[in-house]
Amino acid sequence: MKRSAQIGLLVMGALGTTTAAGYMATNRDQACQASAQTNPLAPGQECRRSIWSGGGHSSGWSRPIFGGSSFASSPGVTSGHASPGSSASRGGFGGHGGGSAGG
Amino acid sequence: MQRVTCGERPDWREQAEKVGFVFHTIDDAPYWDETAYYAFALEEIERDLEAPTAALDGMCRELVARALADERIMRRLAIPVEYWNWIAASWKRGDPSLYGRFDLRYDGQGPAKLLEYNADTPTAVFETAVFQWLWLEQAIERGIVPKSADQYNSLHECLIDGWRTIGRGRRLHLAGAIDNPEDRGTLAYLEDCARQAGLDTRVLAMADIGRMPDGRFVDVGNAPIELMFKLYPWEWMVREPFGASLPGAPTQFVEPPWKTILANKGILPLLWDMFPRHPNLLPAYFDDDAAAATLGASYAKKPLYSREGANVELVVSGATIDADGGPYGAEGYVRQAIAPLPQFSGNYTVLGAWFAAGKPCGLGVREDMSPITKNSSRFLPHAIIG
Repeated sequence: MKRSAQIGLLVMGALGTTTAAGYMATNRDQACQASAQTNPLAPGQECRRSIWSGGGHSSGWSRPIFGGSSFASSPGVTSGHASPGSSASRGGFGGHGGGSAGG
Repeated sequence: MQRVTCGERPDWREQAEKVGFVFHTIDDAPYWDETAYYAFALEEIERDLEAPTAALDGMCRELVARALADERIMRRLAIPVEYWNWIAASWKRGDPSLYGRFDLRYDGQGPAKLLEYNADTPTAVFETAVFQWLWLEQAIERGIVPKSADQYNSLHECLIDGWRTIGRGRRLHLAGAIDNPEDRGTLAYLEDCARQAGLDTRVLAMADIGRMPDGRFVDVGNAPIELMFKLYPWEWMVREPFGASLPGAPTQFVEPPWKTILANKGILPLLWDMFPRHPNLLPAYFDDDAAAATLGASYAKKPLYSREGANVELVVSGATIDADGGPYGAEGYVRQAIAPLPQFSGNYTVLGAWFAAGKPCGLGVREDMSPITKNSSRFLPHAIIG
């Protein structure tokens, strides 16, 4: 087990740059930012991942708005049916909706 | 082990939300609670918690090997027979585990006792790994704890190490109940650790996982899912419509399929049978085992599959003193010797001992006014003092 200063440096150093808290705090989508340099975003859009942007925090987070985000958008298909334009069926997992699946 | 009342940091809510810890309050009640902290001596951590956590992991691995060699055990655990070979193959390959959390009864006196093992979908990981460490740093700065205070907590580093070993630079899909704030936060944090380990990541809802005609799993863009972390229990997945495709799919899962065996309260009587009178175990029996009568009229009755205290019943002298409702129990129950949680300032306290990347690496403390720990039980930070 590691403790004391070493832990502090590791965790806090990371927090200031790329880790959990630092990443979550800034949380810019790098693919979106790169794309925006050549393809300007629409008014009102920004390269901030929507899960951390305003509105959804207390009542469940909102759906992602950028395709480049790792939080993939739902194709909106229903249980067991093929997705439009593909041969994949979806909805075969996730039937226990509602609460937390963790423990 | 002591509960020490202390002042809150006035800005902790803002800090929590700034780092993405948005579920610090659940249903208008505090989930993160820093009006007190738990102080441990280093010896208590090392002798009574860290070493037993490693021992418990070792015993659980012995149990997996034994279960896969004895179909009576697999039946006892109500694991569907069509998945046995798939589970066995995952064990034989050595599919790696990222993490797990042992819930322990401990009061500073005598050995810690295993209450249950959250082997498959443990949560409370971000608050353990990051937010209570932030508390410690600031508690030292603000004089809330001595300058020499420490914390049993290398969980963050272990998770990154674990992803580095498991991922080997591959793309990782993380799936779960992303409409639930706690689960979405847990996925975001584990995704973050994976990115720090050099993995390319994608998060998606369980319902968005696609299945191709040949049984391969794909994401919303139909890209193959080669490596998937699922914050979704195995016992649900194997019983859902796509479950039948799990054994034939080339996807590597985290947690691995062999964790199906350990994510089951049936391990409590099985461990007691394999390691009788082990100091970190409580006597336990399957509910329909005649030997369960040896527990007398006082015991904890737990469903084989259950989470967050659901359908757990505490019976003392034949009377139910506490019970939590829920949807579980169809697969059967176990009875475990009653080991009342210690009370500190009127609160019932349970310890969550983390095991990640192959080693014991951290501690979370939960409190409740009820003797059954639930999803709403408060999380308090801890420190090693002396």
